Amino acid sequence: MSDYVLIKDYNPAYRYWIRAYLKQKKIMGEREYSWKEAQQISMDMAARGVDDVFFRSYFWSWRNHPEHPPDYFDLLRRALPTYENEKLNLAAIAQLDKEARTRNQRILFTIEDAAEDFYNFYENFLTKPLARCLQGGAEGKKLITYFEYEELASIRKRGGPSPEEAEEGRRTIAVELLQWLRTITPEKILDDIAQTLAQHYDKGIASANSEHSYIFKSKYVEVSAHRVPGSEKLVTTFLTPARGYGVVKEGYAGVHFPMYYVQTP
Amino acid sequence: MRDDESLVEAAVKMLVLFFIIYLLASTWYFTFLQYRNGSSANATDDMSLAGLAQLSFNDNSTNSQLRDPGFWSIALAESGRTTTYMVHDTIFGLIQSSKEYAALFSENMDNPPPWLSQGLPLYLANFFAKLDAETIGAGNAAAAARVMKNFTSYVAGLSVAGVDLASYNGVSALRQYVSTGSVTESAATTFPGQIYKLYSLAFNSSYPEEVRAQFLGKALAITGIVIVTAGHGHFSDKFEGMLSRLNLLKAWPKIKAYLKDMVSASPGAAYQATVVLEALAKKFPTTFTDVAGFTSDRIDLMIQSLKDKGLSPDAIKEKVAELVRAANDANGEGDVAEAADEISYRETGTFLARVTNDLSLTLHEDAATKRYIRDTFLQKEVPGFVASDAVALKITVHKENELMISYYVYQGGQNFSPTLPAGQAKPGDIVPISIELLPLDSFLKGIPSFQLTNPAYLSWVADSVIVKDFILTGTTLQIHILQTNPFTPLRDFNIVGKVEKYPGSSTNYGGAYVQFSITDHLGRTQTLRLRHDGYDMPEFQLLSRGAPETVSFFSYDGLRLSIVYTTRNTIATMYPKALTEAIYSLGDLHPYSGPYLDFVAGKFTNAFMVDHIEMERLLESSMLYHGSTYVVGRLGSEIAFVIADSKLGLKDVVLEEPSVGGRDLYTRDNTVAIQARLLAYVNPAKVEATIQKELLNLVNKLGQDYDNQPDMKDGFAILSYVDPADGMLKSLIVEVPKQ
Repeated sequence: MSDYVLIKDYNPAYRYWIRAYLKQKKIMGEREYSWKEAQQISMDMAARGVDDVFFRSYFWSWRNHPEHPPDYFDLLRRALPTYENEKLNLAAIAQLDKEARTRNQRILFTIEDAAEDFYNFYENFLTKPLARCLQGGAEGKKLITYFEYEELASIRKRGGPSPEEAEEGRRTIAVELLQWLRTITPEKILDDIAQTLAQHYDKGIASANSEHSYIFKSKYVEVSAHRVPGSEKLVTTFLTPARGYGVVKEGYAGVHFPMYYVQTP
Repeated sequence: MRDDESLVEAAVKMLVLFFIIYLLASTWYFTFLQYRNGSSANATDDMSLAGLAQLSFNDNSTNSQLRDPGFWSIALAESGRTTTYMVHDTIFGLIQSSKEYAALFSENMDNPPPWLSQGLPLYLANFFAKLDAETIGAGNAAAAARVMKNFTSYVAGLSVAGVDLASYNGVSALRQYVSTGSVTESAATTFPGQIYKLYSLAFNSSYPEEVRAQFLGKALAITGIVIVTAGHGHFSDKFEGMLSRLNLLKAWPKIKAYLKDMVSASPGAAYQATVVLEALAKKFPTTFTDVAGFTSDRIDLMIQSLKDKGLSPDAIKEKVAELVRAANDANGEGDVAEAADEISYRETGTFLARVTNDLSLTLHEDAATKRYIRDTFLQKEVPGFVASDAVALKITVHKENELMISYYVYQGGQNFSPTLPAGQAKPGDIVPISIELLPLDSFLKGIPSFQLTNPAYLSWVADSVIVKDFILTGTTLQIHILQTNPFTPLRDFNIVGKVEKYPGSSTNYGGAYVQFSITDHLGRTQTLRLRHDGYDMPEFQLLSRGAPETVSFFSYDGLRLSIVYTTRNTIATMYPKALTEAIYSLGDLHPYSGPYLDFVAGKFTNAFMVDHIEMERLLESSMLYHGSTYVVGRLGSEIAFVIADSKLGLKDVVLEEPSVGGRDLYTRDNTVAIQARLLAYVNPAKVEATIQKELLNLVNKLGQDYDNQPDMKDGFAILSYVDPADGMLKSLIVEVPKQ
C-alpha cells in the first residue's frame, strides 16, 4: 500500500452528486439530458437574463464531448463541500467514496489503479491503433499522429532527402515506437509511478511557484506540480501518462486521457 | 280557329313522338335480339370465308323473303350504308377521296377495275341489284335460295388477304374495332370473318323480317368488299402490282394507317404524301421500308399540326407538296420526316412530338426503333444552336392556352431525347412543342424568387431567406438575397461569384445549371451550382469533394456567410468581408515567459501574450457562451486570423474549415502554418496544467505540419482561452521554428 491517494479528474461516479446539485438548483430534472438540451437551457437562461456559474461551468465542460456528460472533479468539489481552508478534505472525500462504492463506483484510487488505467490507455489509444496502422500500410502522414515532438524532430534527422527516404524514416520510428509500446506492462507502469512519486512528489511541492510549474516526465508517466494561484503554499499535483495526449480526438482528452490529482493522507 | 290549329299541332307532335319511340324501341329490340343470339361485340370472330359454303338456305319460311322487293329494298339500303362506311376504312375510300388518287390508281394499275372510275358504292349497288333481281325473279323460295347458295359458295372460295391489304388497319384491326364498339356499331363495321354469322342471322326466323333484311344488307356490303378485292377482277393483285411499281409494297402495312388519317384532314394532302413517299422510296429503294412508317407519321402529324393551325385543305396539300422536292433532294432517309417537322415548325411555331411511357419525347416509336429529335433539326430551326457543344434548351409544351416550360441540356450527338416533367403530359400524348436556346441571362431571368428556411433551427443564422434576383455582368454573377435574421440588422446581402460553367447538366437532377465559384477574403473558395428545370423550385448545390450536395440555406451575419448543405446540415462558412479587429479587438501584444511554457521549453523561439481580446459584437459573445465545440473552434480560428494579420504581420492568410484536420491557418505560399485553439472554459483547479498540455499539443501538431509541408519555414501555436481568474479572453502565441 502506497502513501498516495489519487482522485481522478474525470469520473462518472461524480455524476450522481453533480446532477443532484443541478436538480436542487431547479435547472435540470431527474431524466437524462442531451448536450443540445443543455444548450437550449443555457440559451433560455441567457434570454431571461439568468446566470448560474455552476451550470455555466457544467455546460461548458460538457461542450467538448457532447456524448459524455461532464463528470469532472472540479464540478464535484463545487457541488459538495470537499475543500476545507482551500485544501482538499480527504475525510469528506473518503465519505463520498464510501457512498460511491454502494453504487459500484469509486472516488479514491491507488497507484495500482492508476497503473492499470494508464496501461489501458496506452493499449487502447496507442499500441493497438498504431499496430493496425502499420499492419494496414498506413502512410507516414497518419503514423506521425502517434509521435511526440521529439520523434517528429528526429524524422528530419533520420529521413533522407527524398520523399521515399523520409517516408521510410517515419515508418522506422513508428515500428520502434510500437516495439517499445508492446513492452509496457501494468507492473512496469506501477514501478515507474511509485519511483517517480517517491522522487518527485515532495520535490514538486517544494519547487512549484507562480513563475514555473514542476514537471518530471519518466518513461511511462508524468508528474506535474502547480502552485495554486493566489496561494503561497498550496500546490496541486497531477499524475498522467507520459505521452498520448495529442492522440485523443480534439476535445475528448478530458474524458479519455487519464489524469489524477495526487494527495498524501 | 285557334283550337283547330292547336289540335293539328298536337297531332303532329304526337306523331313525331311516336316515331321517335318507334326508332328507340326498334334499336333496342335489334340490340336485344343480337345479344340474345350471342351476336354481341364479344362474339368469337370467324376469319375463314370457307364457312360460307356451309350456309344451307333451307328454311323456306325465311327464304320466301328473297322474293320480296320490300325485303330487298331494306337490305340494299343497309348494304349501301355499310359499304359507304366501310369504304372509309379501306383503300377504296382513298381512291374516291380525290381525282388525283383515282388517276394515280388508273395510271399505275394494269387493267384497272371498272368501279375505279365509277366509285365502289355505286358499283356494288348495281352488283347487288342484279342479285336482287335474280332472287325476286326466281320461281319460288327454293329457287331464290339456290341463287343465294350459289352466290355465297362463290364468295366462300375467295381470300380475305386482299381485304387485309386494302383496309387501312388490316382485318385484325377491324376485328379489334368490332370487339370494342357498341353492339350496333359492331354490326355496322363487322369484318369479313363475321359474314357467315350475318348471313345466318339474315335467315333466322326468330328475327323480324326487317331486322333480317338489315343483317343481309350488312352481309352483302362486306361480301361486296371481298368480291371487289379478291374476286374475278383481281383487284388485290393489281393493287399489289401498283404498290410494287411505286416501290411502296413492302412499306404499305406501315404507311396505310397514316394515309387514312391524312385523308380525313385533306385528301389532296394525303395524295401528295403518297407522291412524297413514292419519291423517297425511289431515292432510297433499299432502306425506304425502315423509314416509311416514321416518315408517314411525321407527315401525318405535320398535316394535323397545319390543320389545327387553321390552314385549309388546299394549303395543307401545298405544304405537303413541298416535301416532294425534299424527297428528291434528300441526302438521308430521314430528311423528309425532318423536312415535315421543319414545315410544321415554321408554319405553326411548334411541331408535334410523341410522349413515351417514361414521358420522354420522341418523333416516332415502333416495335423496332425510336426516332428522336435530331441535331440537324435543332441546327436549322433553333437560332444559335451549335450541335458540337453542350447547349441549354428551353422546351415549351403548348397546351391550348397554357404554356408549360422545361429546361434541358443537349449534350452533343445526333439525337436529343428530353423527358418532360410529370404533369406536363401523359404517356401516349402527342404534344405541340417549341424549342429555343436558353442562354445564361435567360436562364437567370427565368428563375423565380424562392424562399429557404432555417433547417433544423440552426443557431446563429437567419430564420428565413428569399433568393430574390440575379444580376450577370460579364462572368460575374451577383445573387441578391433578403433575410430575416435576428442576429444582425442586415436585411439583405449579395453573394458574388464567378461563372465557371454554363450550361451544366446532371443525370440525377435534370434541368440545367450554372456553376460559379465564390472566393472570400480569407482565401477560401467554394464552388456552387444554381440548378433549375424551368418548372420546379430552383436549387443551389455546393460541390463537396466534387460531388454536388443540395444547399438548404444561406445566412449572412455581417461577417460570416453560412451555406448550409447536405441532409446533415453541414455548414460551409465564407467571409465576404475582411475579418478585422472590428470583430475582435486585440489588446497589446507583449512577450510572455510564464509557467504555461514549461511543457514546451526548448521547442519555441518566441512567446507572446495578448491579454485582452474584446468581442465587439454580441453575436460572437453569444456563440462563445452557448455555441458548440465547432462554433467555438471557429471563433478560435477567427481570433488567430486577426492576430496573424494585426500582430504577427502575416499576409495572405487562408483560414481552413475548423473541422478539417491539418493546419488551421496558413499563408497562401505555405511558408507559415498556424495551429489555433480556443478554450472557452478552463477548469480553475488546473488552468496551468490544461494550458500547458494544450500548448504542447499545438506545438506537436506544428511538428506534424513541418513534416507534411515541405515549404513551411515558420509555425505559430495560438491558444486562446477565457482566463477563469478574471474572465478575460486571452491569447498565448508561441512561435515554433523548424528544427
